[in-house]
Amino acid sequence: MKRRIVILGGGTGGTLTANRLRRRFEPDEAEIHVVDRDDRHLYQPGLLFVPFGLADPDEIVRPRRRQLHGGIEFHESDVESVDLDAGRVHLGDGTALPYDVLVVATGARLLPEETEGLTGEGWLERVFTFYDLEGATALREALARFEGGRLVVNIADMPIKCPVAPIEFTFLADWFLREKGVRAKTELVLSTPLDGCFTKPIASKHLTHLLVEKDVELVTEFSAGEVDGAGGKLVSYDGREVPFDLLVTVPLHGGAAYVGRSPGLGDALDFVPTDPHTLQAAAKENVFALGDAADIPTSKAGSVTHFEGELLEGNVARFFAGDELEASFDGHTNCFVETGFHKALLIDFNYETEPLPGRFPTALGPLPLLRESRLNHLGKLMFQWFYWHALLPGREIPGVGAAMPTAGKQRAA
Amino acid sequence: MTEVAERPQAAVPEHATIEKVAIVISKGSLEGIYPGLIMANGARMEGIEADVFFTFFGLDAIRKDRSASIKVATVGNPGMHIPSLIGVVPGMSWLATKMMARKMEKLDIPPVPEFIELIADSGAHLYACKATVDMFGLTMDDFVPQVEKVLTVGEFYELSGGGEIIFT
Amino acid sequence: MTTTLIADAPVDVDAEGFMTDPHQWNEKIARAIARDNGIPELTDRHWLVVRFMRDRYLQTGTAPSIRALGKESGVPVKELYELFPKGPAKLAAKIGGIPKPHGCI
Repeated sequence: MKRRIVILGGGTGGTLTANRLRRRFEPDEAEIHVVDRDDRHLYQPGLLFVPFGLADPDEIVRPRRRQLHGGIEFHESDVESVDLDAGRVHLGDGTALPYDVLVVATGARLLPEETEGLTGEGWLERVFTFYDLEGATALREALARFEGGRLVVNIADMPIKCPVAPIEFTFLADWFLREKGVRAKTELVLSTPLDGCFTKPIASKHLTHLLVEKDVELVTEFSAGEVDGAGGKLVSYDGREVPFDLLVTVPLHGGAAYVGRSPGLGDALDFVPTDPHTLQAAAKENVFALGDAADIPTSKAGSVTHFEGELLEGNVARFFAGDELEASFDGHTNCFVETGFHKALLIDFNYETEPLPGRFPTALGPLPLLRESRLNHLGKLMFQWFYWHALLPGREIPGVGAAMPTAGKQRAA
Repeated sequence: MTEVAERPQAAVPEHATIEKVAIVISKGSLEGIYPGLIMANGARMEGIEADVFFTFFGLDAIRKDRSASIKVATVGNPGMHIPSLIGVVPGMSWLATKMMARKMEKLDIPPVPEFIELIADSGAHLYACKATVDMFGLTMDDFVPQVEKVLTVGEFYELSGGGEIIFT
Repeated sequence: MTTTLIADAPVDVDAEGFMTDPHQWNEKIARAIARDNGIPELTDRHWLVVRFMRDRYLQTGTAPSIRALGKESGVPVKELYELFPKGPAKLAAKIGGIPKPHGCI
């Protein structure tokens, strides 16, 4: 009996899932459909580099269709809503796409309008985000013209995609401004609603140490309620003010809009409540979610999506076979953190274990964990190649399995 | 005592200028192709006639399907100053090529396809080597429009008469 | 460097005839240099290129590469070589009264 799998989202999660499932099932066993509103697959980690002229906007976008293997049907269309009971997706053009299994991989979207004043006066002139291509490109122009002043990097609130990116941005800004010769005339500030610069304590300590070394002012527990673009200041809910000449913000994030229009599917932020170990959605047994769209206690990161892929593929097959689902996803997350000056730091962690020092992926490395190194920086740059050639096609990265390796890690005595 | 006749001094030759060059491009890597292109462009900028002859893997520079994807060699290339064991890692050649391309763009050195156009527009003549063309089973259709014809090595020597041959 | 007379005006030039002080330049001098270098008459197209080179040099301190010239002056490379047969980048610079360009492109 031929089943139909519909995957919503043609980004990282949607593509690698479609490609894995297409390899798993014969054409007469399953039809695979991917729905996305456009044909522009963006390599999101590249956005960090665009504002500093280290990557060109057209270098990091490729057609979505080209990343999908043969035998996968791609629908370039909006999604209106999902009817969970009838097992149907309603597309923007009014047609319906029934499914036997639905995979929600539509990621997270930016909600800058939800912070008062953010998209008002000054937006794209002194207030930017680098979390989308338009913003990153506009910021590039602004940074090229920046001759000094107060540069504030701000996180509106959690959850956000890639919690390290604002910290990386700050490190790269320090490097960029030094190269430009205006660092001495600049006050660099990182403001965050968290009580530390990062969500995990040991990594947070290391990263905070680097921030201090690079003379960055860290403002914690600051939840930006309002942006005054004209007056150049951020105002928190508790009345504190952070003045700026240039603001680089990470706006509030929510799940895709159609999730809110699909009764039972999502939560208040339009993310999909999902079992953290099986990736099955709470809404219905034939619905799965992976990547940023899922509400599981990991960071929202591409590496998590990659590590989820193997388990998801297996569980869709188990679901079809009527077998019990495997509950083995361990929340594995892996991240190169650019620290500027051609160096990067690598963190590797999961649900149980926070980022620890040591070596990755084996005890012999070669990559050092929680330590700046040029090799890690090279790893970050080369990662783009792996993304298009290994990760999206649904293959493993050599030497790095889905479960977090314990081999090289040094635990506290 | 016999008088020693003064020996006539040989005339000191005037510093000769180069009027014509024939440049052979035989390699398919980025660092193997660019020197020949820069020399061809440099020749034209000095008003020197230039014929460029592409042979073996150098043909990649004038092939429609390959000229935009020329890469830097990262294996067995001591000039890169990275150990081959690292150069072998997937993605390394891609990265080295990207980094070099970025540096070249900053210096206004065009990517290969644009450079070929520039050189042809400046009046240099571009040719493909018949022996290689036959070996790889190619035709004029496989090449970019700037290539004038396919030449045998004999025809190449005829063409280069009176000039300097530069092999790269 | 020597001082010579071009179009009855004293001009400082180097061994190859490139002006060493761009501010001594004027259009009469340009026409004279062009005549001496095989271009009997400067058309509007010639002037477009000469002015572009001179402006770019005065703005940035370096002469544009042949690539930039071809892309940004409005005159494509093919035509550049027709207007200035023995190397447009050098000749237009000479006529434009700016120092000899030092690039490989």
